[in-house]
Amino acid sequence: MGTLRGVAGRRDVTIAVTMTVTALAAVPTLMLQPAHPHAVTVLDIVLLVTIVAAGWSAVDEPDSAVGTALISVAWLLPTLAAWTPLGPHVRAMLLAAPPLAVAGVAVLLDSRRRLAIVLAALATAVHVLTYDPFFDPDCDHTCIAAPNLLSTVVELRIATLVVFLLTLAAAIAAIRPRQHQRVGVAGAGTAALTVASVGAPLVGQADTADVLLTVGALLGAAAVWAESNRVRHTRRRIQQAVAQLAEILPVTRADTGSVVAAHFTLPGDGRWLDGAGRVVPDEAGPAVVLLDGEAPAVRLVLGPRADPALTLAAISPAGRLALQNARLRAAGEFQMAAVRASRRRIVEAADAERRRIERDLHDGAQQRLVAVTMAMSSARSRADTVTARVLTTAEAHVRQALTALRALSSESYSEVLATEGLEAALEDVAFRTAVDVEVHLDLTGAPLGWPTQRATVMAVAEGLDNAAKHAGTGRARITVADDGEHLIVRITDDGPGGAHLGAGLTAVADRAGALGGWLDLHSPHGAGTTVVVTLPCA
Amino acid sequence: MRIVVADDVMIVRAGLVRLLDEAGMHVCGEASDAAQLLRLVALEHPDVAIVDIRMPPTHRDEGLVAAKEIRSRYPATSVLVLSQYVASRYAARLLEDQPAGLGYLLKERVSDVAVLVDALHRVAGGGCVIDPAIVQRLLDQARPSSAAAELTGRERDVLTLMAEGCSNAAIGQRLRIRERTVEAVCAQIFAKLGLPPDPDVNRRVLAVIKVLRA
Repeated sequence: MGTLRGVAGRRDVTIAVTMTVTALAAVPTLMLQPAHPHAVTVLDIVLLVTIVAAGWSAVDEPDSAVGTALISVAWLLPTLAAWTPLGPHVRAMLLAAPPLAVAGVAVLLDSRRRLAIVLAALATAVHVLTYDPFFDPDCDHTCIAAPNLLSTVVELRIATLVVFLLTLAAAIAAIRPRQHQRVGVAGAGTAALTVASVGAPLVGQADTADVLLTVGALLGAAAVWAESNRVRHTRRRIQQAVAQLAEILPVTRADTGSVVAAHFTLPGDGRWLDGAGRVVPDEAGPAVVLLDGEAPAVRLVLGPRADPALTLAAISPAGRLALQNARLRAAGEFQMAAVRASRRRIVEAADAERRRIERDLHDGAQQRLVAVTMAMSSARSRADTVTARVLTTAEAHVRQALTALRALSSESYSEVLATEGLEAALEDVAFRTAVDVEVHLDLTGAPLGWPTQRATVMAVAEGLDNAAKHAGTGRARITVADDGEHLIVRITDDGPGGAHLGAGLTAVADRAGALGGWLDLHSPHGAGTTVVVTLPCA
Repeated sequence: MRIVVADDVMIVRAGLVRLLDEAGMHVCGEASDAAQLLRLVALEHPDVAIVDIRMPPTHRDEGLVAAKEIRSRYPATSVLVLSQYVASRYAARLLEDQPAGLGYLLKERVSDVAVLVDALHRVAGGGCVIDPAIVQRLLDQARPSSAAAELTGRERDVLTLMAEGCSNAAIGQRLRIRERTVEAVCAQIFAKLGLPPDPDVNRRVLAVIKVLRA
């Protein structure tokens, strides 16, 4: 960051010095009409410095550099015409350069540039071909036949008018309402002065053109300075925004001229994710997309005033790397969420299936078998001894079948959980176990999801089962507490410890994992066993 | 004896009604859900209502809720709750306020007409009947530290029959021991469960309830 600021500082100084000197240079031009030779030399040097400085300040932006160079050259060349060793023809051609400033403005503003350049070049060409003031300085009064095409004042006026109109058309093409108003105004000013300086001889004001040339040079430099400043500021904002987004931090200041969000996508997946791996809707607004090979990888959503090209240029290699990291992180989060959701669905589907089977057994087979025992009993009372004995045996078999079915269907704790709530279900589970259990609930009252409640009861049931198996005659203590976000179920026994994660507790761990929770088992030899299950409340 | 039967499964209801008819009971109404049952009881004032624990709309504990309501609003009507579950929690809930005139039997038990008729008479007489399977399980699961765990095998047998609502004489007959021995065992049970001497027959029920609530 220090280096960047240093370079920017030097640029500012260069541009400030250049503009001051140019402004001072305009004074002798204005005071000493017609142009004093020394003043012109000073002006030349100053304008040369302007070109170099402006080009340097905008060197990161090819458009700005080319535009600046064109404007500067267009203003510089006519002043060189005062340098007699160049010969009259070359000096005359140098005088034809001003319309090119309009082309520079068009490049700088990046608006209909091709049309503007063609028109400006045409204007220059017409000027070169038709008018040579050094061959015939008095042509605006009395033209004589010359190497140029003009031979009368009328023809000179017509040619000047053509150059004027072409330049005007180029300026109109280049300047239209722009977002970046400072550059637009400076560009428009430059173009207006160009047009005026071209048109000045037409109305017999050839000297005024010199003044216009100087002011135009100033304006051109100002435009470039404004543009490079804007570019630098915008670039810094974008760099900051990208760095923040790559760190998955919210952008501190919503900035309409910068990047407002970074989205990521996975290979072969058309959806966009935010930094946390959540799917985001398609963005209708302006955005730039960074590719990974051929495929889209990162999408930077821009504020309405942001410049896509500038944004792309502003992302440093380090920024790209950070974005790539952020993308991997988002992909990881996304896939984790998908896996978790899938595990949860599997557990819920298994639960639902089990409930359905229980209900079917209860409402179907069990009820029918009960009816069968009643019918058999009814028949037995009217049967002879032998038949009655057969019926009694059959009835015993049906009862056994009923007992077996009940073992399958009715021992589910979800009954009590559904009718009487978590506390009753936990007491019920505690009541059914062979060890002495103390149940302690400390709940904040935060709403608990049904899957969480089920998992809680299941964890307690399995934890107590485990305690009964390994702890034998010991005591167990259950605490269930929440902090509004997580529910912590702790089952402690004072058995010999050394317990392993058996099938039952593994099932609890799987269920907890499916809900986004986890299970911890502490069972040192000789120091009891503690099972802690952490579950999300919702 | 006048009886109403409430069960949402038609074939079970029909089987039950036929058994009761054959046993000489008068079934004066049938209901398929709790609301219908309450209207019937209000209309017929039966001696006993036989109620399935699971009925529409939620098929959870509608029968239990209806049983308690009947006992509080129509004290002349006793209730025998039938269940598929060996759920001590439901039995405890049913009997926690006022056990008199209430019974909780497993559904399959009622095909033994003698047991059914016996249970009906006991609850109609203000007694309390609990399915032996439930008492058995409670005693099996009694925790090492609880009073119930200290009961001997003989005491458990007697307590189980007590839960069924048997008198000392009936218990003696079933276990083939003398009635005086039964009385002695009963005294032992009451002592171990910490129940003060009380001539009231309800003490027998209290003993069972105590185990239920352990």
